[in-house]
Amino acid sequence: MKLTTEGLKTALLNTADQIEKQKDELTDLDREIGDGDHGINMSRGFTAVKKELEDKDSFADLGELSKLVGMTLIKTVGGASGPLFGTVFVKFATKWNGKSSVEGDVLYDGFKEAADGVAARGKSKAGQKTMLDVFEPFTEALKSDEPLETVIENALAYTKELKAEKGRASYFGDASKGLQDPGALSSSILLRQIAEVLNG
Amino acid sequence: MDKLLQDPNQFVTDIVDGLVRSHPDYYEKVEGVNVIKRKDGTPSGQVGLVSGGGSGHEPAHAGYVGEGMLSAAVCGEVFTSPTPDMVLEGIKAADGGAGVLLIVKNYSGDVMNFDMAKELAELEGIQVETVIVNDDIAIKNAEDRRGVAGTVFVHKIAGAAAAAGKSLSEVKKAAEKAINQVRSIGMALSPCFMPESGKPGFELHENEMEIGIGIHGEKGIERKTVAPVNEIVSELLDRLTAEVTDKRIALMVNGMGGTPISELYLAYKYVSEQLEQREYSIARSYTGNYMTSLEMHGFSITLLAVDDELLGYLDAPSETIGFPVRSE
Repeated sequence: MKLTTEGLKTALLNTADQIEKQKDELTDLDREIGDGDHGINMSRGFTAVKKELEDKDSFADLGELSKLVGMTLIKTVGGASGPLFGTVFVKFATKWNGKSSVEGDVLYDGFKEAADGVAARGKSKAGQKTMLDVFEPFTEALKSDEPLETVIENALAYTKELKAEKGRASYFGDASKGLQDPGALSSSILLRQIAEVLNG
Repeated sequence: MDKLLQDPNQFVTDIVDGLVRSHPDYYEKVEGVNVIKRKDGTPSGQVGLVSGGGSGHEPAHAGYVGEGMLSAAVCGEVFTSPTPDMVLEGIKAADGGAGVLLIVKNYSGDVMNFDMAKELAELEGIQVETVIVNDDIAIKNAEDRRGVAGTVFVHKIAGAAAAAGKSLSEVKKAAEKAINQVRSIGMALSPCFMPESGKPGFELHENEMEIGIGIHGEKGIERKTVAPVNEIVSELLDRLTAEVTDKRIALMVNGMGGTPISELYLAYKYVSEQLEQREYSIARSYTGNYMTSLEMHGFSITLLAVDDELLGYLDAPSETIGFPVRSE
């Protein structure tokens, strides 16, 4: 498994298209468990990312690409998702600066740094029904032979049954069990696209 | 959905432009971003105050910008925290050289974005402190409690302390005192509609109400059949008076945006009567739309335990649209 600058760019463009397709689904989920704007905010952010990527011919390396994506998301998404998804890419940039292709430990280190960054920014940990419950298993699976698609699928199913302990969904307490976390779903959209280019 | 709309994507920008055009003596818009600042700026040597958050709560927060209250308000998308770069613009606009206090409502998005902005501002050499308002007792766990209408009292008290020339740490202390002593709870009869999606923030059946609703339509404590207002008030006050035990209070009966002023005064009658029966002394009272939720029909009650210091700050002059206090 190898992630190249071009591969990540492709994954991001595909993510933007997929977010647009699932925009209403994300918003509807958020109406059940949050405040009903997740799809709108993610769509605003990834539309901006797509524009940035299309406007620029090429990127020197994964660091430059990740940093631009992170800053764009931080500036355009808003809410809690802006800083959290932005942090993912800013952390990628710190680990992948100067590299145009990563694999093995370096690939893992980028995702690990991103997951830790999200946990620190959101003062959260796995098991609280957040994007981390998809992000962490994905990261660990990079060290195993398990198919990433299956890992994402299982993580989503597991997250759905958890009780929310962070963010606005936590106000629902036990009633949040059985409802999907919108941030976990949008993370799965991004990670599926990355898995696809990793499996190349 | 019935809304006055031009372009749903321009909803907040249109509101901000309208506010500035409507009150040119009070406001200036920071170029290119939805941040409203005091026309005359923060006086040199005075602590600047910045608040903000998602839009849809008007007159919060821009309505509290002016002499004696906030220096700048950062207006995010509807019910969505503003981004760190926007908050940074607010901080820069508010800086009068004596540091800036951020007054943040306790939502994970607001807390994270204001926190990132604080880090950015400190890199630019501006001293920044933060207080987090969590007055909504509908949530059991105190650290998860939301910031709601009580935030307006925090704006007023911190603003008066800043205008009195207090230092950043003293202004922060006054704000924290207010936060420790203020509690709120709300209810709704009908939801609000998101301008971009046109959908209601939540569903409520006819003849149903939600007790403990948040200002974004977040889930409250329970749903039940609509009761006469005296019974609703009794339930809300049972919960509030369990937490605010000091008997000398400032009282706010706040409209959620879709409640006629007539109904707010009707509610006020029963709130004040019942508080008197519970032997509270209402030192100051405020009735109106202070922290709204688009067109939600409902109201909230806020109790602030006061002493002479806090009363002095509440009574200090304020040149604002949302909380005007005339100078003696």
